[in-house]
Amino acid sequence: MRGFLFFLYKEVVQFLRNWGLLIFVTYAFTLDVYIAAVSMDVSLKNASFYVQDYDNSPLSRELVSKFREPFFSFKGYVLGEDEIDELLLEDRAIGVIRIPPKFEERFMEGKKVRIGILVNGSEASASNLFSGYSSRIISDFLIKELGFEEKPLEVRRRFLFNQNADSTYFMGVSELLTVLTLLLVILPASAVIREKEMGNIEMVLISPFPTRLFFLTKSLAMTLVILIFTFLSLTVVIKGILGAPFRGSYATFLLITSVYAFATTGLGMFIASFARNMLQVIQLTMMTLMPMLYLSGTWSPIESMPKFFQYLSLLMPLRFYIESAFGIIFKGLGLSELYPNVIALLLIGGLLFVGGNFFISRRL
Amino acid sequence: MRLHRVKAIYLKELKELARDRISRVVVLVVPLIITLLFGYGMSLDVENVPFVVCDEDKSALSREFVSKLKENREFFNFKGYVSSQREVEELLLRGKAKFGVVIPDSFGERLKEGKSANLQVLIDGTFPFQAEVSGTYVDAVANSFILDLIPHLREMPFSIDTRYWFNEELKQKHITSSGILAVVFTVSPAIFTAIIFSRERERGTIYNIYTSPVGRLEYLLGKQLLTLSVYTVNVLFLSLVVVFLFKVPFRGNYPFFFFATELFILTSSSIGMLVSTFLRTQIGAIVVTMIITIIPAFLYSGYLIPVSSMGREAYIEAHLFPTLYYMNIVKGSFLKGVGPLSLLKDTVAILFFYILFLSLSYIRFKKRER
Repeated sequence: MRGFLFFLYKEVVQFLRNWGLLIFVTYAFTLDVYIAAVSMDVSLKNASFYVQDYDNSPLSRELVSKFREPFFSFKGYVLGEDEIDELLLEDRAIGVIRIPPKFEERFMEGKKVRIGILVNGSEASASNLFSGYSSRIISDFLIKELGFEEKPLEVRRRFLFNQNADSTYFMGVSELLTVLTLLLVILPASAVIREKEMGNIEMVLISPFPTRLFFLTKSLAMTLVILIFTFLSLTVVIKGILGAPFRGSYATFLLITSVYAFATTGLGMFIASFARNMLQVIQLTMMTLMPMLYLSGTWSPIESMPKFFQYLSLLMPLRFYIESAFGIIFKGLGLSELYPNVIALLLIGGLLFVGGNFFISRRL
Repeated sequence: MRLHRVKAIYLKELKELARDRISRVVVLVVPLIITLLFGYGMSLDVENVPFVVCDEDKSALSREFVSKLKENREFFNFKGYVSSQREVEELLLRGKAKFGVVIPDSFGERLKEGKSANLQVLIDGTFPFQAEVSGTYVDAVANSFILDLIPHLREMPFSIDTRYWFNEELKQKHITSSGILAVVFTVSPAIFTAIIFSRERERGTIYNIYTSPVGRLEYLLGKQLLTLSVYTVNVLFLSLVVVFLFKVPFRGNYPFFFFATELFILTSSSIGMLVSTFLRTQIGAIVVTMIITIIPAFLYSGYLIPVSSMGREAYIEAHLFPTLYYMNIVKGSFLKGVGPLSLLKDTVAILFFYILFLSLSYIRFKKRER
């Protein structure tokens, strides 16, 4: 037990003495999470657009005024096709609204007018929302102009758990989970590789300290470090600075995070047992982590994936962790609702952890 | 500068890589996996969203509306009726559905009398983009429902023509799966280069270089040449993957695209080089390089968020990092079909960054320990 505590202490001290690493782990859990939260926004915001107004009547100007901030950002008028070509080629606008000549006159006479929306199809996410929003704005406006007091059918939206569907909180939390996962794999693996590369590992192998316990201590030390950072990031950045709601309990969150941490450090041990140097550690980590991040639903919803990927995602510990983490933070769920996820995490995680630690002590 | 010394460094690095069984495979496989995942997976097309309906009206009209929603199989996945709003909220809470439509009991009656009716959509806002898009889809269904319903509205005196440039069917996948090349060629050459530089320092073999006649520039270029040759294989292979597997049309000038990409790989590799002159340990150099490259590559390059819509600070920040210019070249070559002339500005910008990073590394890299 004393040996165990000593090793734990040694690992933590070694981590703290590596200034470069310490600074960047701190960065990852604070500034990085903050930057992602504030700037990674795929909803329609300030979409730059131009108007090609061949009518220039009160009605057409009023229509343009309906394209409001914060969704749209009016950049000016254009005339001529060449200019539109240039605008869209240089990605200076998401789209152009085209109003035909004699728009007001014809519309008032009840004759058909055609309004054009030209969308820059090379901009991801924004192009889709741009066309949806603009056609809704145009048809709402013109239906009202036709004399309907109210819209015949009013669809009222209510977002639960995250009013306004604010992407700040979502991105902040998912960035935290990504950073956490990345470091949970890399830190223990690199701690082992360092010993391997420096040749210290032989010392451990001939020492009376059990090898298996040695690796266990490494996983544990790094888990401990990361748990502390997670707690800080959660309280200071996500809740404090970003002001995200935290509806569940911290205890549940940390409990599930430690279960998840064991699963992931196990993965790190698997990698460490194969890899001989840092290049390999990094490449193997990226190779396993990228699919894991993707398949777990951080980037795109699981329902929208091909069926095969959906089944594959059931093997990813991160999937269950994300569901639980979002459940706790946004929905205020507790262990009584989340227990299926915890069981899944324990099963996959236990297997990975035991497997990884067993495998690495076998391979040396 | 002597070319044979550059060559010697290059050959030494090549041998080292060739002897390293895992790395040899992995430098070629990792970019492929990332490209495949994003090409197939990074889908901003929201599809198959599970939803429930609470129909308090149970009239012919409300049933017709629900069947309109159900028809849209590609977007929506109907999970069944529930009896109360509370139940909808409960299902959303447990993640069984992503949104629920609540139709009030006066719905059919009011519509028949020509009065304005309403319905409520409860959306799980946890995943904001999906929530937003689902809401927009329901709106669209409601709009077409009402247009079909009210006979004199059918002859609407207006129509809206939407046309998508560069991407006629507006396949988000075309954008994400070609754009991923810009992300891959920013992040992985940088990390690879950071590793091959910092490794020598950590192992102490750098002293061989210090005591040898190899000049600083020769050393830097020799190592960069290795990165370049490894990633040239990737450039050729990955462009084939994007065109043939993901079926993204290539409309530009391939030789130009190839050379611009090579230049860009040199640029991103010098980011890794520069970082490793500041940090002593491999893990430090790697982590810093990752942090410096991954965020700008995804966020400030116009990959997911249009640069033209960015706030002032983000807009400036985006222009301070080379990925944006290369992204323009990727989009220009794949989606827009423009040639070298229109992309000259971007190419010059990349060249500028390369010279800048290379000179900074040259200044920072000293042939003795501090």
